[in-house]
Amino acid sequence: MDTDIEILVKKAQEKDKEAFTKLFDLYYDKVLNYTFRRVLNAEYAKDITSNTFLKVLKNLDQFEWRNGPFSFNGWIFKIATNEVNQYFRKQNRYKLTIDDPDFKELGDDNKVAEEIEKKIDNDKYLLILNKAIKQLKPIYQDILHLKYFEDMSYEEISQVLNKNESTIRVYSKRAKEELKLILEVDASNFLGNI
Amino acid sequence: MTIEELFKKANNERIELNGHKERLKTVLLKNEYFDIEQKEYWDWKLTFSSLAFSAMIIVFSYSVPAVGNSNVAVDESKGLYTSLEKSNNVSSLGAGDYNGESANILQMVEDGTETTMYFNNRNVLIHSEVNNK
Repeated sequence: MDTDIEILVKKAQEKDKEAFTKLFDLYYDKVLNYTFRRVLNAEYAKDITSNTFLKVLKNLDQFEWRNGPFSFNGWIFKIATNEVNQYFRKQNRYKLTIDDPDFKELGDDNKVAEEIEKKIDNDKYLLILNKAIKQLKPIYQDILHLKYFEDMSYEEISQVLNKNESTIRVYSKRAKEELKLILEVDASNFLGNI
Repeated sequence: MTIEELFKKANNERIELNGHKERLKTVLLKNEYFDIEQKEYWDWKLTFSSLAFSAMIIVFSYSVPAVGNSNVAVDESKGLYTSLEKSNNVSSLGAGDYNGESANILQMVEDGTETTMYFNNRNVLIHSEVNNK
């Protein structure tokens, strides 16, 4: 699988549209769902995902396959995480950078976004978790999302966040402890004792 | 319930945005990144124009001191001094000074106008005065 991705990346770097399309199909859902769980807003998740892939394309020539099998996955998530953090810094001023009139026509997406958000409103677990996670330091937020939602290893998270693996382990432990404390206070109404 | 279990319960929701994926794909595939010919052309053009510009700068930087080089200036001015000195309506007023610099002075009389010219010791014209009689 990783060898396949490595080949696809190399072909995409040689401007092979088919290879890039395959990579896009492999990662689109992952990135969209990751960004959505971070921001809990379908419209912003959509824009962050679009900007992430635009940056992937613009920087694909500079990408070098290294740091093991998670290389490309880590690289994409690094870009997505940077975009998410940029969104948090700018909040409602975050903009879609793709300047394409066709793309800006939302069509039925507004309705879809509303439906998704209604659905999420009923997902108490996600809402409680998100509210609690947002009270943590940004790097703790990144680690918890990447570890527990994206199921990444410490090694992979260390690549995404440009930190030493042992630092990530320590941070992850602290993040989990702090999250537990917050949840004990905030979520007791919904979940009972954790 | 552990933290891990809580994350698993919250992780079930997967979102899908109708049409967004296909539209994004279309936009990305239209991106200039895939425009190989144009990219190579521009790379070549950029390289060529950079080289040409660099060459111009180098030539210019060598040629500017050459224009200001005293040898060239002396030759041209020497020619002027020599040709003036040989003219019938020009007389030498000998050595003098202008602005504290020693100078050879020539005076040209023409149509009732006296023009006094000061040349430095390299025969470069450094000053001239026109007097109407």
